[in-house]
Amino acid sequence: MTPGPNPPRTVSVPEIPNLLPILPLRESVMFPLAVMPINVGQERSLRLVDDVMRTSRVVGLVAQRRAQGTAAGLEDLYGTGTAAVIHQMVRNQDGTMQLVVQGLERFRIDELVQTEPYFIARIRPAPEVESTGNEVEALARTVRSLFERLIALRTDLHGELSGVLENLGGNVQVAYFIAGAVPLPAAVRQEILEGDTSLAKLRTLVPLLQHELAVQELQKKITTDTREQLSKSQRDFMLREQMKTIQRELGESESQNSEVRELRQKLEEAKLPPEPRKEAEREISRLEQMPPGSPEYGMVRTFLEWLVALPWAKTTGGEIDIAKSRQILDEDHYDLEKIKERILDYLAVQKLRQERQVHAPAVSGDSSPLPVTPEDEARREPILCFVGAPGVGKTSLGQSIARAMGRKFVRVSLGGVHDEAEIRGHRRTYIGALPGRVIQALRRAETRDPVFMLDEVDKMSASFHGDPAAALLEVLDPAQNQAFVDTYLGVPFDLSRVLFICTANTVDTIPPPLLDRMEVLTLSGYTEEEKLHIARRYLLPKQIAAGGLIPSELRVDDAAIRKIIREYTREAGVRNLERQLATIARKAARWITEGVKPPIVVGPERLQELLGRRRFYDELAERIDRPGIATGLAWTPTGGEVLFVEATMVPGREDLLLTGMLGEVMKESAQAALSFVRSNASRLDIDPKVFEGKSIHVHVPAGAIPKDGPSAGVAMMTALASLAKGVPVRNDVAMTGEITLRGKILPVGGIKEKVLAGFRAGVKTIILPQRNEDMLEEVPEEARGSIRFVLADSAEKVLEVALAGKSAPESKPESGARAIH
Amino acid sequence: MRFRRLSVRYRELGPGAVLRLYGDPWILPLPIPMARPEWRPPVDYCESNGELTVKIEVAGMTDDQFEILLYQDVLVIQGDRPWRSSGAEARFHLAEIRYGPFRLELPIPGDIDRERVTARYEQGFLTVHLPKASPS
Repeated sequence: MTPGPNPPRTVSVPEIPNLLPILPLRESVMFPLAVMPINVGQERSLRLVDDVMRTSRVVGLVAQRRAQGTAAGLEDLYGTGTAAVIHQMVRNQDGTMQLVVQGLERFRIDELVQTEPYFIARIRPAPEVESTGNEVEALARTVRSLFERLIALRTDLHGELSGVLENLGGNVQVAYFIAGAVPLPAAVRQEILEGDTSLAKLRTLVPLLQHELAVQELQKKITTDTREQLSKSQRDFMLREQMKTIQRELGESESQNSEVRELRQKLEEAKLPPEPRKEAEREISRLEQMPPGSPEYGMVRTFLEWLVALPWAKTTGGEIDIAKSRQILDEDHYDLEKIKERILDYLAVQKLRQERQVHAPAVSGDSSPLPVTPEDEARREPILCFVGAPGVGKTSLGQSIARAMGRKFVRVSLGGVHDEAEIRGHRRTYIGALPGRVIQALRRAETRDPVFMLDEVDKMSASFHGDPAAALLEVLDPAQNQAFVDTYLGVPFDLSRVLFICTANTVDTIPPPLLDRMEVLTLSGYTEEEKLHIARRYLLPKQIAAGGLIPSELRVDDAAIRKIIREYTREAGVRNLERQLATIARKAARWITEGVKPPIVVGPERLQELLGRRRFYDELAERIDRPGIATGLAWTPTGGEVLFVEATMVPGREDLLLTGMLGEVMKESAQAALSFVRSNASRLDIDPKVFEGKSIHVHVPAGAIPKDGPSAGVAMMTALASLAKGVPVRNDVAMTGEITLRGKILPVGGIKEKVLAGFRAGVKTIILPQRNEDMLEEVPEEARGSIRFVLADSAEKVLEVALAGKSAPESKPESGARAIH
Repeated sequence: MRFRRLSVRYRELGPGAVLRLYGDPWILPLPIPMARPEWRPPVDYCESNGELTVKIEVAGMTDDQFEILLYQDVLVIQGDRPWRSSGAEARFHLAEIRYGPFRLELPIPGDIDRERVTARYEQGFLTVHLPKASPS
């Protein structure tokens, strides 16, 4: 009892008998020193435990080879087991038992000495051998590090475990400890138990741990991934729900839903072709996901509204009646025979095609770009281009065509357009982006086969934003426009059923590739007689109605209208004439409201009172009063003009001064004219010395208007000759033509407009190049009858006519021509 | 040698784990826990002015069946409660008393008067008195 520093005595463990009752274990393996609860239910096992409890309390625990069934003999059991002591025992109400057992030592079964009522085996203790050496050391370290990694991964394993490893007695116990801590199948645990040395046990353990570690790592990764995924989708869900709540609070969600519903319905009605349809569906589903407050919501909605508003399938082209069309054209326009003929030809072709079903069905619904077949080629609409001065009726002609064909009419003015995007639209990414004018007009037209008027195609200009004419090429090219893609829409629209009509004042500024695609129809200016008819039949009734009058209340006689045409307007068209008539109609309306009794009759004498002072005077008589002035005829986009060439000489250096905003060609033309006059002085009966020591100045008023072209050559030559000879040019002679150095007269263009301009100005004689003779046919009868035409092929002939009299002869007014004062 | 192993264990588990240490030290939350083969009897360990008292409840022993070892800083009490077989007809319904070898280890302060340590076994309690060394 007295404590002392005695060496500690090894404490005895319960003795293990040679004959040991064997308790088979299902699905578990007992290790030495392990503590394990066991449930016992089988009759023979209960008998066994009863017997053991009152004797040594030591049993042999041996794993069954199979998890199910009852072991019948040695062959069903593994050969190695663990002797264990029963620490505690509880008998349950139902007769089964719970035991707490602890392993003591490993044994091997030699033989079964008893099978009934329970197994008793002759056993031989088989203690494990603790290996030594580098290998076992390395293995042990490996196993430990693997185990520590495993602990870190597994939350169910206690963190303290790694510390415990250090305190275990040896590698045998390490092996058992880990095999017990890691979930392993019974067969594997049995394998570890059967290893005789720690080396063998650790060797078995290493791959198992590696496998387990890999599985755990993978599992953890899967868990983490799913958790992340889950939490993200949960988060999205939460946010969306919150958004919905907020929208509901703001009263937005309802309107959004109804908007989307409405768009869907419109989409159904619009009968979109497949490709735009797909795009629209996509955008609608995007719209549904968006909060209405976001800026993109508006963009997407606008886009969809555009898409559904376009006439993808609607057409209006009905039956064409040629006789009725003729009537409509005549109702709307006076004369213009050539144009009307062309339009009626076109309508006749349409009618025949319709009747003979060359036409594709009106609603094809398919606008996808297909290879062009000859049939497609045939049903293409031509592209007409009306060229003429302002006010000659180009636009109203387009309206008449639409009326005659029973189609809608839309008009887009391209004057001043300098941006390609105006034609083709802006990209949708830009704020406030819109489709181009072509698509906008089609939306207005609400059909896909309108008469589409592109006004002022000659007034587009290219800039750094691109060339709108180039974009128009695509619109107007019959080979491309069946799949016209607007940049804003991004989906093709079929323009092949649209009848395009362009208008222009001149073809000169239309880019050649664009002009090439069009059929040009020229509308010339009107003569006084034509204007009188137009005023009577169209303008006056229109203005009387516009003034709120009835036709019987205002009468304007022919002499008054002629006076307006002559003295208050100077134009190729009738726009100003209409304006003056409108003024008269307004005045009349005012008088009537002030109590003047209708009808109001307007004669020439009342015009001063109604329209004020006359606007235009005869220039010829006033201007040509001395030598050195000649009357030229010029062509302008607004019709013909009369222009004057003034030449004078002053002492000074011998040179030629040219003023009046003359272009290069016109300057050269003036130089050529001067050279001709000087070189042929004697032949032209001119004193060769007259130019010596003189500076010659040629001026072409009005000085602020740019002028160019060779056609004033003859007029300049005449002016110079007149100056040199000191003989004034006849003031009722006008001329046009290009002149060469040899005095030849070359043909020029625009004869009709020039002649009409001269006619308006009261010219009696017009000198034209010989080779322009055939173009005289175009000149209206009225003008031809009152003007003498002189066809000249040489300068001599021109001068012969122009300088014929010593002074301008006074002449009496003639019918249809203007008086010269 | 045994002393050395023990001292390592104290340090490792630290002060927070001290109480558990006195139980079966290897029993841990494991699928198959492991434990030392010895069991551990319940103990009271108290300190008064002059001494430390260790009282162990371990019945069914005789005086000479205890082995009390006093190391520099550890008191070890171990023994073996003998198990005698019951009668041939006996049938257990409950078995909670542990027999066989037991072992108890307690840390002790260094200032123990080792010459005056006494122990007595009485009515199933083993009491060990460890008087503190009087400051000299």
